[in-house]
Amino acid sequence: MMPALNKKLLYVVFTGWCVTAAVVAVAVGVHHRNRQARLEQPIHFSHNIHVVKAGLACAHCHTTADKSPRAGVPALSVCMECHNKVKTDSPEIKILTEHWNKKEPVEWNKIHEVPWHVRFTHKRHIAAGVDCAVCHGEVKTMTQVHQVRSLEMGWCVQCHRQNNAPTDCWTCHK
Amino acid sequence: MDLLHRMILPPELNHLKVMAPVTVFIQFLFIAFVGIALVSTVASLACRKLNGKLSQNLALVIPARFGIWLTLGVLPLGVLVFLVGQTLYGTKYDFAGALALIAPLAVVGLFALFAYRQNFNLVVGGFGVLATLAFAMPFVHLFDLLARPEMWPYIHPLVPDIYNMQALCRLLIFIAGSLLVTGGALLFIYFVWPERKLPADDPWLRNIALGLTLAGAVALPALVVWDAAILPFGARSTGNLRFVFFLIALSWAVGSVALGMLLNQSRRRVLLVALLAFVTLGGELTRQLVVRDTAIGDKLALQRLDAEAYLATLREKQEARYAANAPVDPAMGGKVYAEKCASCHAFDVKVVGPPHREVLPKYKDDVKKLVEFILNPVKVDPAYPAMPKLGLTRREAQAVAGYMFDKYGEQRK
Amino acid sequence: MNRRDFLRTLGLTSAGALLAGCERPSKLISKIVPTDDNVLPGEALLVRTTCTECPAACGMIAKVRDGHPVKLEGNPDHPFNRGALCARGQASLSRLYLPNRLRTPLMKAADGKFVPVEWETAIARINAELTGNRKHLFLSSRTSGALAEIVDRFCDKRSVERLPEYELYSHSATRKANEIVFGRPVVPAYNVKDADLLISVGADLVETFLNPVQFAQDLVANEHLRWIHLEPHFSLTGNFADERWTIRPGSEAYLLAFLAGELNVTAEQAERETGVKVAGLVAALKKAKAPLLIVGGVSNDLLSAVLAALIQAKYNMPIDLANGLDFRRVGSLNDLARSEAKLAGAGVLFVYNADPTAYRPSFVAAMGKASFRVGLGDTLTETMQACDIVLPLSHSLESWDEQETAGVRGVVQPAIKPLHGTRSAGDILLALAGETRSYQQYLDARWGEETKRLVETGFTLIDKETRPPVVQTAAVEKFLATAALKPVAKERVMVVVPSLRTFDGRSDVLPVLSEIPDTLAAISFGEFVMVAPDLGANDNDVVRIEAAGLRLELPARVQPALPAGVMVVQQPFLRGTAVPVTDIGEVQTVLPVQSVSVTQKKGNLPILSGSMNAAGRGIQPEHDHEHPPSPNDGLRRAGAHEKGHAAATLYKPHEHKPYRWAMAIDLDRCTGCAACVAACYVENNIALVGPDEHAAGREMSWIRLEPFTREDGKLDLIPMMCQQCDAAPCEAVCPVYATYHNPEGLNAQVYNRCVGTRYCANNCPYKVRRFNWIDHPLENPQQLMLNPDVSKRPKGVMEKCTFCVQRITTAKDKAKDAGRLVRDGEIVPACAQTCPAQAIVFGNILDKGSKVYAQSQDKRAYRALEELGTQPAVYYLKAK
Repeated sequence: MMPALNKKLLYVVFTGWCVTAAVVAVAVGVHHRNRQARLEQPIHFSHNIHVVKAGLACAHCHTTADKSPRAGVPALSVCMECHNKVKTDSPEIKILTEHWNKKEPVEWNKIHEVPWHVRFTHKRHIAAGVDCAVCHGEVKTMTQVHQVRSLEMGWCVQCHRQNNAPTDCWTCHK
Repeated sequence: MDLLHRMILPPELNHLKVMAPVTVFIQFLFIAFVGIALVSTVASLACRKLNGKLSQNLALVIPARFGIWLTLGVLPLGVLVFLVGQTLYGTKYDFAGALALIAPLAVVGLFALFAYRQNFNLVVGGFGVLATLAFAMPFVHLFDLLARPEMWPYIHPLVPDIYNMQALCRLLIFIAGSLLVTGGALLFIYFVWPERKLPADDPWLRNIALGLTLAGAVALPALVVWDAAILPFGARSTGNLRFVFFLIALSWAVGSVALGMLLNQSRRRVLLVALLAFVTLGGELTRQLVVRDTAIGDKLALQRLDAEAYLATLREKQEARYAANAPVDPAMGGKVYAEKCASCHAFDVKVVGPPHREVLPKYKDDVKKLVEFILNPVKVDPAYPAMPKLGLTRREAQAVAGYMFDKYGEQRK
Repeated sequence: MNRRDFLRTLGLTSAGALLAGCERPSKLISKIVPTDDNVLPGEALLVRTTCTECPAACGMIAKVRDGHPVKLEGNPDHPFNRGALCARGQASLSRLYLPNRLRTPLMKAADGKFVPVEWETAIARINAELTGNRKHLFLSSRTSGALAEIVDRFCDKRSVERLPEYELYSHSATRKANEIVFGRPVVPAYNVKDADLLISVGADLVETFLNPVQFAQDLVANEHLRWIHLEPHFSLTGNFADERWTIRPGSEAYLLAFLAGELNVTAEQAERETGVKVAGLVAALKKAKAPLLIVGGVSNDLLSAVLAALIQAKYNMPIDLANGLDFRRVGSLNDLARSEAKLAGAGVLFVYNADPTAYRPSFVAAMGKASFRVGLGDTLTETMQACDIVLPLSHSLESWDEQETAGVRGVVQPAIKPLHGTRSAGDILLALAGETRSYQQYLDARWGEETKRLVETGFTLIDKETRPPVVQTAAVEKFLATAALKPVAKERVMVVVPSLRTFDGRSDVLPVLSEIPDTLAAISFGEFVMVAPDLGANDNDVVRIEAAGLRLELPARVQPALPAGVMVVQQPFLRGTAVPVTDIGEVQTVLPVQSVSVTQKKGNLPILSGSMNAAGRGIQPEHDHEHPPSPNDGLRRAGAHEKGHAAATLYKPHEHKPYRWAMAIDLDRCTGCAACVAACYVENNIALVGPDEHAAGREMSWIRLEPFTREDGKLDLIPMMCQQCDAAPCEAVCPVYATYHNPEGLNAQVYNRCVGTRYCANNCPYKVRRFNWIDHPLENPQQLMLNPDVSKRPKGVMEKCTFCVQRITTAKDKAKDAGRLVRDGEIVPACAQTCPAQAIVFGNILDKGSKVYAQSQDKRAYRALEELGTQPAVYYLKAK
């Protein structure tokens, strides 16, 4: 075996090892990004301003969270209650007002999604005293809502186990 | 704790921004030191039968000077407890307490490792390694838990979860990083540092040091990619991935140079290797900071909000004191009313909120109640939407209330 | 390929693979204003409307989720069906979502192909064609109430002659008979609730006759009834009746003449011609205090109907001539022939919601003789294809309408905005009549103050005063003077019956109904002829039949209960042939067979019954003829343990707190109508697998009606679904724990955990587990019919009855809000909800006050295959 070949081979092997690691990192990144992407919303609604500055509680807009399986988003009339007078010069409010005038609903991108085979009900969780922030993160600090919990089954089950909530499969699987 | 409140809440919060890089720096010092102490002891113990002088030299990369061990070993740990405790203050995770609980293990381990450098006793050295490792595992785990805020309500600080994949990965990263910097430190101390430079290049030392560096450089890329892959959901970010690529590049660089030096005994790139090794460790620690920040960014933001709220109450109290003594601007009430209230209210018709004509009689006996309401409005009447908080100071609220009652009195007449 | 291409391909494919992971996010919609229907997201809006799948017009409630209806249930307050809905009613939801529904108006171009056009274009063209001197004609199926008025208005306004309405089963004989005997040409309403003797001749009361749901409910509710059913063939009604007597085909008139005391028929002549022990009938009639006679169905000749009316008058039977189904504008098949003749030289022919070509192929040729043809329908039937303009109709779930029939005004109100560019018939006709108001406005004006109540309850009663019928003796005598008793056929006959699943064939576009086997034959897809054993054919042998001018080749299905020489074919299997018509204009139901031969060919019928022999397996309690049953007898089962001897078990008993769900099915009430099967399909998003899979034995129904032949040839039917066993054999063998015993006693199947080993189905002794062998993608817009509370199972996953766990969860959720446990009766699975006979009871068996507990303790109660030790949670009740 020629020493020169040996050395070159070692360099190549090591470089190949690092390149493989980089490629796997790319794959990991793409895989993560598919779930992680911060989705752009049609109107840049900032929870931060509305909750901290304006003092609105979660239930002011998400009225059905404690009554129904879905928390829902407010109807445009709720926004317009204040925004037909407040900050009407902001470009975002202008988009909102246009939707209102044209009677066009606003289609938000859903950030928190559970899979098709899962039955999740907000009502039960709020009735059990789970704070919104436990699953959705500190939304009042967010200028753009993004997902902070994995919402995977293991994560759900761990909290159910700790809090004596039902862990029967058919509670959540439909 | 009011003391802590006052310590971390000076009139501005800018110092909180500085805390993060300071924490990373202190972590860097501490982890580099502990890592080098650990790996060099292990290497020394392994070489005992081989060559006594070599074994001693390996260990003595950190000399047996108590001052060094105190300043670079114990002190940073204490500072770390304090810093992280402050950063996480108010976030319901008693990291500082948990760290303080395992700190004695570190002290004992480091002391044993220090003692080994004095008498080179196998048992002392072995005990030191085990104790330090036993400290390293929960230490790594505690920091890893920083990236899992949803686990915080359920942590038993006394029982580290040793089956956690992420903590294991971090532990291995710690070992890989330690291998890197130990190699770098050995090379630097014995081949460059004027005071400790060896008179002649010791090939064994050289090759062991380079071997350690290379081992670390080979292990690190795989480990950081693995760590990125199993990160919990809330901790993932593109920043993390950028650092992963950066670290892979650095590892490749340091590994290639070390390999080059190993294959060609005459080549001397000692400074480069040492520098790259330490930069790699620093890079990994910064990456972990990025991960933590992503994971608990909202918690920290919340904490900042709470702090701001607290400051706001302080300011309010101050303002109240001023308001009691300061001259009143008679036009303030009208100005504030026009700016903030007129958009939604009028005296005799509903605009958005109820007309004042209907509401003011409720308060005519207690203006203070009206001022409180203006400062903290709540939804009262289901027929009207909630009034938003307008961010008025107490003086402004008082002025507006006075203005309204003046006007109202006028209207009534 | 060279390196460059290889790398390029590699890069592209890996990029493509990675990109495939990108999913478009779903949307959250901010509406303009909050909806005012007080329905929270995730809850259903209940719309009260009326079923339009057959003329019975049962009241129903459409459950609307996310703006589209996903389930239909009977309206519990409605006097006809009282909460139940038959299989066709349950399946009618799929008509709304048919992929091949007409979506836009179509106009025939010069080359004979249809092109989509705008509504304005089509209407303008029709208006243009409506000028001119020729006679315009309007042919529709049965209409009632407001729509009938609108049609009249339109016909008056535009000088269109309104032809007699077309219904294949027009009850012409009954109406003509009532005209002769009582002077009122109506379909009567029969009150079986208060009768103590019911003699039915030919009428398939619990299958398709008039309102089968109402009959089933009334018959099971009447505990003092002795019901004798006479028929020439074997039907589900005959299977269900207390006593079934065979009457020779075509000989009903002799029996009725004897009972009526007319035409000089003696008892001995009647007995000789019919084969019936008439003395028994006479005795029964004498003893009965409130007898009732119903003649219809396959016994549809005029003489029988007249004699029946005379008997009804003679015994003062409760025949309500004022509140029967509204068929007053419906003509007979003879009227259809006359209408066809009128087409020669006609102007514009309108065909609304009718397909006369199906059973009268010459009609389509006759249509060509009119100058212009306009069709109003929802699918492109043969009749529609022959039209020049086809206007697409909205489904009743998309439109406003009313059904005024049988003493009830039922409102039809929309549960969804029209899915496609369709319009309702009322709107179209009002527009063509030149009016500007919509049909909804017309109805509002017509209903006046009652509008609010109609919309809220779904119906109002318009009981017309019932006068006791008066016999027109003169007319009767005139008729009887010329009446002649026909000789009874001695040769083989073929009896043509309506289909349980598709009525006169109108419901065969509904895919669900083809998946559900016909109960008597246990055959789902395909056309067949039921034959008596004496023909010597085996199942699936193709039989060649020549009867009454028809030539048929159909695979056979042997039915032991059929009298010798009788074959039965279902009406829809004769689609496309010129169906023979009687002199009165009814479908000829008894066809003399010229020749029949069993060929060597084999058909491919999916016979889903398995072995028809219960073989003492304990699926049904054995009929012990040596020891006739006494009320004090304990239940004897083949191989069953003695009472008190508990079966030993290796497993620890499960602890169920606070609920253990169980079901009790009263087999003495089950008519075999298969409404439960259809309801289950709709509620649980069960895949429709098609004929090939059925031929391989891979049916998907979670509940099936298992037929077993008795010694006397009748069928014992048992609805079989997952028994939710306490010691389930399926649970122990799943390698991935996808099926397990849940804390409330149910056998839970977790779909996304299942890997498709199919060991569980192998182990199940009841064979109720269903496997998704292949994917069955839905065609747009069928996905709107999916129940959002139940997942749709993908390929490779095992599924089975869940006792409607989604309903259990909803009820528990509501109870938890109220801070209490679920009460008995709050949870009603889909099958129990729709059963016309209320044969299925569901509840918590740990609750000693619950209905299911009481039924489980009934002395008729037993469990299927009990000796296997599976401890099922389903109790069947059957007197031996």
